[in-house]
Amino acid sequence: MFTYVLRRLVQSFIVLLIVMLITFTLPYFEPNGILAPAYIVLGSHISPHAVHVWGVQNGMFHPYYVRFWNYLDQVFIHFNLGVSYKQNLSVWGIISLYVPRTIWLALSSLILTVVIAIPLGIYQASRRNSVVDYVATGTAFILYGIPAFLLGILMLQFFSFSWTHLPAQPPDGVAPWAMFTNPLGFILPVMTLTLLSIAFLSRFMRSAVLEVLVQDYVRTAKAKGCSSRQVLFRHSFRNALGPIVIILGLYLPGLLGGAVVIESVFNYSGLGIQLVTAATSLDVPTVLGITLLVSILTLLGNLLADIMLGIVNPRIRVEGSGR
Amino acid sequence: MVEPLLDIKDLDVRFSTSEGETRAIRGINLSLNPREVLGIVGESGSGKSVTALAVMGLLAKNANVTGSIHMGDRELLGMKDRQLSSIRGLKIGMIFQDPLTSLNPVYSVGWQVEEAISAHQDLSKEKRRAEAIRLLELVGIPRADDRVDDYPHEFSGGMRQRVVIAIAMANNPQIILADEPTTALDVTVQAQVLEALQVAIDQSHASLVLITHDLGVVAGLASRVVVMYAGRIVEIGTADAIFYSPAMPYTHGLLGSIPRVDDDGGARLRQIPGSPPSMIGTQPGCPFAPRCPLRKDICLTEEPALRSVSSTTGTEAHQAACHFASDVVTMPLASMFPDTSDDHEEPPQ
Ligand SMILES: Nc1ncnc2c1ncn2[C@@H]1O[C@H](COP(=O)(O)OP(=O)(O)OP(=O)(O)O)[C@@H](O)[C@H]1O
Ligand SMILES: [Mg+2]
Repeated sequence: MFTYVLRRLVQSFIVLLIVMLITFTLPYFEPNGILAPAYIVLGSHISPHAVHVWGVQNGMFHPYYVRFWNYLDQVFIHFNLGVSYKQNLSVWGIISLYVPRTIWLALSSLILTVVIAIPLGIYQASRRNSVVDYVATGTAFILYGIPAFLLGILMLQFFSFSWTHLPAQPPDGVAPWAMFTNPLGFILPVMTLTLLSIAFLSRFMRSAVLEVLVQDYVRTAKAKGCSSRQVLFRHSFRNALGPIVIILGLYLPGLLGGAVVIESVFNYSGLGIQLVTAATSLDVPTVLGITLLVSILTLLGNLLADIMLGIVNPRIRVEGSGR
Repeated sequence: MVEPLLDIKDLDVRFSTSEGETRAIRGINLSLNPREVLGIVGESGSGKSVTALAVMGLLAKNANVTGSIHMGDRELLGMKDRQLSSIRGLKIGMIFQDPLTSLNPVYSVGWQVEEAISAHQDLSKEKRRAEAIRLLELVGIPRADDRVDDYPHEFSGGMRQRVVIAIAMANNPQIILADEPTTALDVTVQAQVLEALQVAIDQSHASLVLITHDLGVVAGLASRVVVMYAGRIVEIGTADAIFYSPAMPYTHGLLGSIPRVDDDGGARLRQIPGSPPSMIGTQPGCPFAPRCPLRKDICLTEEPALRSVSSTTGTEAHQAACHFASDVVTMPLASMFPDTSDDHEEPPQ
């Protein structure tokens, strides 16, 4: 298991470097190249000389590979993500200010999703082609087909303007614990993100359980005299858990992506809004920093999923440690 | 006469499929006596598994079952799942064809045997574990107390099948249904698994229904043999009657298809030409007629009923579904079908 985790960590690190290389390279394709931010930072009417000075100050005239190397050195040796071009803050400062809010949004809807989608999927599988199954399947497909922002707007329309009067947007200020002091404002964004995730996950849970239900060992369990409840939970659910853990791990980026969109719809000031603003204002260090963070979270999620899979499935555990 | 353990009457199984209705079992009557070994043989698709699964109430949801299956004075057909699970494992144990898939990969073999025990017995944790180890030892798992916590993937196919046998015998059932228990295994392992099966029925005093498409497997174990073809019983009798004086051309054909090792070391297989009829819809006449070397006009128009064979063997219980059973029974073995090998083969014993 240890060597397995180590190998996966090394793999993750390589993926991380590739992601960094790509995000680092992209600004070169701006119309004004990597000097483009100068026009936004200093204003669009500045003299070429001022642009040049800005470029020198920010080390823009070093060769590409030197710049990338310096960036790596700055990030991994000095743990410094740089300073935002736009805000008078270090990138790390921005992240530590906003990341808790996004994590709260993503985490609370992830937990809600798991708690709702997994039992729902199991129920649908065990009552296949029942009315509940059809209704849930239909709803899931509709939700799955709706873009996140549209669902957010519809939710606002129904719950905030028409039926009830849930607050349309969460309270301002960046304190993450606002979720507890003023939970009402968080209901709509969390609910929207949860609905989207459930639509995705319950489908997988349903098909994972269905696939397990036709396995021979389920028939053996029935032939032993296990009750249908025991068959469903001890055998089908336990065996379906493996694929679901993988799916959850793979879904993490989707969840964060969803959170970004939901944040803009509900004007929820989290990392997502910061990323969008930073990207539109060519605040390159901020974009790089946030991307780096999201990549690390995603890779850790996948790694965690793999480790959990090893716990759930003894076969993988052995194969993993055997090498 | 002894009261049969299991009494199947007019069993009919239809599956609704997208291609139409499959009539997998067409009116089977069969009873199983206490402490007997009943072999069921027939080609692939003849309905052997469906018969066993119907007894267990484990058929797929698209099955429509009619008739009756009595065990003692209880009717198993149409029983609620909850009642059935008090019979499965306790009164009837079942062993399946593929040992590689019939154990759950995420639980240890010991756990799976213990689960079978705890489904019907209230034992303390320690006693249950001890009992699981005892069962695993009985079926021939070496160092069972060491291996009880191993997972199925750490066992070979033959070992896994022994575990499945241990599970089937865990509650001393009255009946063990073994659906092709050795088909998926190496020839060398087959004999050992059959031995474990013998131990299981000796220990639990159970009757065994041994399903196979290999007459060679039943030869050593079964006292009575049922031959199935296209969802029907076409011949039934003592093992002696079936092996030495079969009264149905299909049985002749099956006997000819036991592979035997020739002088030159190669296994020869005499095959029945043609293939079984479609299970969708009904053709008039005898279902075997299109492949039968003795076919007459009547065979294509009238389906023969299962009737007692009046023959030299003279046993009442020998029945066959053939218009010419009394002629067939007198014919020498292995003369009926063309030999696919060039030299002559001895009749099987
Ligand atoms: N769930 C099902 N739906 C439709 N048809 C089925 C189903 N189960 C079995 N059948 C059909 O019933 C017939 C008998 O099948 P069965 O499995 O009993 O054959 P078998 O004698 O056990 O053959 P084998 O030696 O291959 O195991 C086959 O034609 C099969 O296609
Ligand atoms: Mg079968």
